[in-house]
Amino acid sequence: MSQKSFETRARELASAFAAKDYERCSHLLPPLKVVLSQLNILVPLLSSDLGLLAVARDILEIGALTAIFLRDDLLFSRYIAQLSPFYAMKDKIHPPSSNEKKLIALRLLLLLSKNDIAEFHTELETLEDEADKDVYIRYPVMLERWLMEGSYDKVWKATTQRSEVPAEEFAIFADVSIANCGGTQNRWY
Amino acid sequence: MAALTSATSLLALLDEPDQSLQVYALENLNQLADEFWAEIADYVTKIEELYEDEHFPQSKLAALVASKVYYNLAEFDQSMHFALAAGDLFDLSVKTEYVETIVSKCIDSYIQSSQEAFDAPRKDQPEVAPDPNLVDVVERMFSRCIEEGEYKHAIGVALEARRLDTIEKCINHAFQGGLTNGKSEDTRLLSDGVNGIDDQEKKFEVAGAELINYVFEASMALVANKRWRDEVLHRMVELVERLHNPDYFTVAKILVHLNAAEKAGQLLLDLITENTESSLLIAYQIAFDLVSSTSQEFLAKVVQMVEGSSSPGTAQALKILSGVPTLDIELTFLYDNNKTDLLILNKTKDTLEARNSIFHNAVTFENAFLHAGTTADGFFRENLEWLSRAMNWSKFSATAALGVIHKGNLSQGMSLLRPYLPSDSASQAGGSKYSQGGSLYALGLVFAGHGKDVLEFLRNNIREGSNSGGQEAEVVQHGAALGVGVAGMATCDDDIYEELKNILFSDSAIAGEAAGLAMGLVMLGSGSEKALEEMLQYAHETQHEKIIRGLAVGIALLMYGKEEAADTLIDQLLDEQDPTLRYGGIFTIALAYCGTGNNTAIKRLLHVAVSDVNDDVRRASVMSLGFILFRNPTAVPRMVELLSESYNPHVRYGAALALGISCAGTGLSEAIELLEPMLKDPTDFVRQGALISLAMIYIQQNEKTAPKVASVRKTFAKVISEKHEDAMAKFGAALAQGIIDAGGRNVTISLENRQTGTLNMKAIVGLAVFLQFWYWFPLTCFLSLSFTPTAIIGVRSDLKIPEFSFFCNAKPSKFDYPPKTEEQTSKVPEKVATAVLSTTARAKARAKKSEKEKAEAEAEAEAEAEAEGEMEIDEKEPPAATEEEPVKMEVDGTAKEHEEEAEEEEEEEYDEEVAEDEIEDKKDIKGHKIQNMSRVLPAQLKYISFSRDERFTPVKKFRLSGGILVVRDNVGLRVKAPFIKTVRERNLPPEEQDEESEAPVPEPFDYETDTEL
Repeated sequence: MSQKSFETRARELASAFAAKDYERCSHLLPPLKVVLSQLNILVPLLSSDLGLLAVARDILEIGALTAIFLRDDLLFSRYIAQLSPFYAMKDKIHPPSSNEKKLIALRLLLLLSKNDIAEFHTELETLEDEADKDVYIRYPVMLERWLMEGSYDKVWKATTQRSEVPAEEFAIFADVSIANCGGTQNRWY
Repeated sequence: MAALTSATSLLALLDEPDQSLQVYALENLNQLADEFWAEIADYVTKIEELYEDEHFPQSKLAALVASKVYYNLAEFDQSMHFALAAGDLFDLSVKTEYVETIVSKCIDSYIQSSQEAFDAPRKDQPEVAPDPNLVDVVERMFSRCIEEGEYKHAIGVALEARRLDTIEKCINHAFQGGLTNGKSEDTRLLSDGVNGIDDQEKKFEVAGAELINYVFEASMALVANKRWRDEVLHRMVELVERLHNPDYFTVAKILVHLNAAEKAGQLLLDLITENTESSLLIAYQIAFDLVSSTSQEFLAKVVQMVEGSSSPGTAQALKILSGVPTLDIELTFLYDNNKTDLLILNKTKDTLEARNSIFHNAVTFENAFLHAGTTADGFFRENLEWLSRAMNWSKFSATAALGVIHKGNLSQGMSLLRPYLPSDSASQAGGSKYSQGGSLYALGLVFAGHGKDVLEFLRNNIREGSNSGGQEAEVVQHGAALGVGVAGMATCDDDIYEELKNILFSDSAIAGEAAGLAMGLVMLGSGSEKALEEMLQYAHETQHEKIIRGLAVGIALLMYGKEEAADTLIDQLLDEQDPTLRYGGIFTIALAYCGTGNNTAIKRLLHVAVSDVNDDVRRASVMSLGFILFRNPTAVPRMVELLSESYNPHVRYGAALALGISCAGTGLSEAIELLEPMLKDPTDFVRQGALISLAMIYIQQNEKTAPKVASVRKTFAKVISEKHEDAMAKFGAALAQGIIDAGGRNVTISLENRQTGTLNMKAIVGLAVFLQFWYWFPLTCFLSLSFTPTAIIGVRSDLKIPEFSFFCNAKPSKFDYPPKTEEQTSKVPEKVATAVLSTTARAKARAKKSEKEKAEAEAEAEAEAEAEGEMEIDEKEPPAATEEEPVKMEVDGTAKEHEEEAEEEEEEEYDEEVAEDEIEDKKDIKGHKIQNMSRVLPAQLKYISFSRDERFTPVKKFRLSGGILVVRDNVGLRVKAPFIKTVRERNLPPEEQDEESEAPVPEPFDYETDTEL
């Protein structure tokens, strides 16, 4: 598979994603990942081409977001796992990702919705100090805090009012998580 | 570029539905497994699933990753399982810890399974074929080793895995010149003396022969299973015989191990029939080797084979095979080089009160050991008065000691002992029954292992004894039985056996004990069912403990070297009610598994050592460890360390002797460290054991090789002179003094034949019977069988000992004889001084003063003279040259030239010495020449080399084995050369001799005149 066709495919994916045609994205992604693996950039290794890594990362990010829109949390987790080495070496890959914080925040939200508080805090610990100033990250962090406090009115407000949600993906997730929250709350009381 | 910090991304890929992504993930995980195994471990079930998935294209890869993860989890069995499943993906050539661990694990499990299959094949259960993958890995390992020329590794594994075909393949490969690229091999071969690289084939053959030698040594040292070892050795013989130019010495060695007398005879016959100069020389050398390392039965078979030949070399070969020349030569060596320090002996004699029979015995045995085989019986002659105090059994021992001193003196043995032997005419008049019995025993010792000439005589005495009866006759029978046993050792002669059995059945305690022992000696190592049954049965019937003990040890002797074949008997004996028979069972283990290092046997002994209710049995089982492990002496100190601190003194005694037996002659410091504290043991017999063992370990060591030896010698003397010391310990110390300087300081205790690496049967049996001195002092004499002369003696094809020299690349002082004890001349002036002090008158004092000055001057002069007399032990002087000078003068007038040469050399050396006076070390390293037939210690052998330019060069490639070497005369037999005469030649009547005889003919002496007390 030549580099050219890889780039056209990548562009095709980007445009499909921009057009919010997530079904199409989900069809485009698997073969693209195979291409990435053939180009040796699916996982950033010592031998990988630095210039292409940014492209690979963008593709994986699209994949992760697509998974959210398709409400496939397992797929989303896999994408996040694959993205983690890219984020670990972000100072090497240019340009830096604009979606990184958003995806991490989404992951946190996912963990919260699954009531996996331990993993949630582990993940939080690995973030840098200024991370909770970020608008995306603050959202799951605050949600967790309110849940712990028992301020369910705040939770309710943050998840139901569109104005409180930092991005539309969060809203999708919030639906899921609130459903779960309700479930867990029921158990708590 | 930063590497991955986590494997999560790769592991996430494993869940992808697309197989190519999974493969991609596995490929990367395979690279990173050693780094991220902890993370991967969580996913190992997923990986195993992939391996088991039939549709997955790279299931082997999954197996490999799983294997690596399990390896890191230290689950080696699992890891090996998956590594084997990975098949060819598991790359053996990678040099990582993982691969090495798994490969060794594979080999281990392969060895285990194939050993099980080999060792117990006749079980009804169907043979479980080993995992084909496992076999595959091992095969790949083999072929890689062979390709890289690492034959020894492959052979090592193949030996353990019972793979004869692989061993053969290795050797064949070597013969075909598999190692064309092995440069190191080339250079090594060159230095070994193969001329020219062009001669490829020859070179390969040498390499192959070397391998065969390696297989031989490895199988001797490492293979515990006798059946397999024999199989390998048989195959090796076949391989060697196919060569164009076989190494006959290797073949002979193997044949000795296999106890294949017929084949050995055939080999000799072929060599003799070939009838070239070199083949004859080889034949003679092999004959000498056979004499020194095989039993009488073996030799008799060889002789039978050779007798048929009519080639000119036959007579000479038969002469050698008769064993007489070997004994003659060794006797001559011991006679000429006798360095006994009589001062020690005399001092001990003066200190120990002869009226006490244990002390008399002690001195008798010390004298016997000190002079063993040297024929120097001067001590007896000088101390007739002391000798006359011997009573009853002391007299028996004293007469037997004569046999020890004249051991191997075949030509004179009979005539020397005649005055004491029972005879028809003068028997009643001639001396007591005790000296008669002792002399029969002595006769046996003189002819130990070469009994043809005297057996008939001894047997007559047995028969006579059984006719006459009476208590006195028992003593004679006792001596005769022991004599027959020693002289007829391992003849497996049924007639003798029957006669001994008759004595046994007379149920006399004294005679029966010796008979039981002698039966074992005669049938030594035969494992004869009939003998076994009869002896065991009688042991159950008789009431006499002495007889039971004799039989128990006899039974043990029957099973000498039988290994697994003795197991049923051992089981049976160890289950006996009677502790004496259990004691025999322990010795059966010791002798059957002697020198094998067999783990089962060791476990068994250790178990008995701490669990049996009887002290004798426990003591014996600890001692026996020494026999089993003597080839690996360094292992013994660790093993008996705890036992040596046991609360039970018998166990401590056993531990001491186990060290002595296994480390004999090594001077091993670890053993000494354990024994030294035992010298202060509260129990007298433990001290005795420690003293004896110290002497056995320090035999022939001087202060250069073992710094502590001087203090140990002092301890011996101190124990003897100490007033409050127990008699047992004193006895031990006297024996120790005898052992440490045994045979005129020219013998060592070696349980292994240096020439062939086989068990030294005589030495082992001698030592085992010696240990029975605990019950019966006369058996102490058996230790003399364990003494092996340490010398290099070159012998020409006409069995003459030429004078020539070889080179020793070490300081002369390093292997020198220990210095003789100083005579206390310094006391002389002291006495005078005290005399002066006692005087009061000045005038007298003045007068005395002048006298004293005179005396002192005299004393000084004396001391100087003394010092000159001791020049031969002076380090600066080349000792060999000075020692040999008188011999040369005496033996041959034409030696003058040589002498001059020697002198010239001496002068040269002297000049250099002056020049390099200050850098003495440098001079010391230079090495020195050693004359033929002089003492060469086992540790010294590695420094010895033979010059090619000498007239005489050894036939056999010098392989660190001393003893008798047949030498090639590069000039020719016709040219006259100086020879050293054997004692036998010197004793021939003058008309038969070429030159005047110098050696004195020992005269019989009589110590009986004033004895009848």
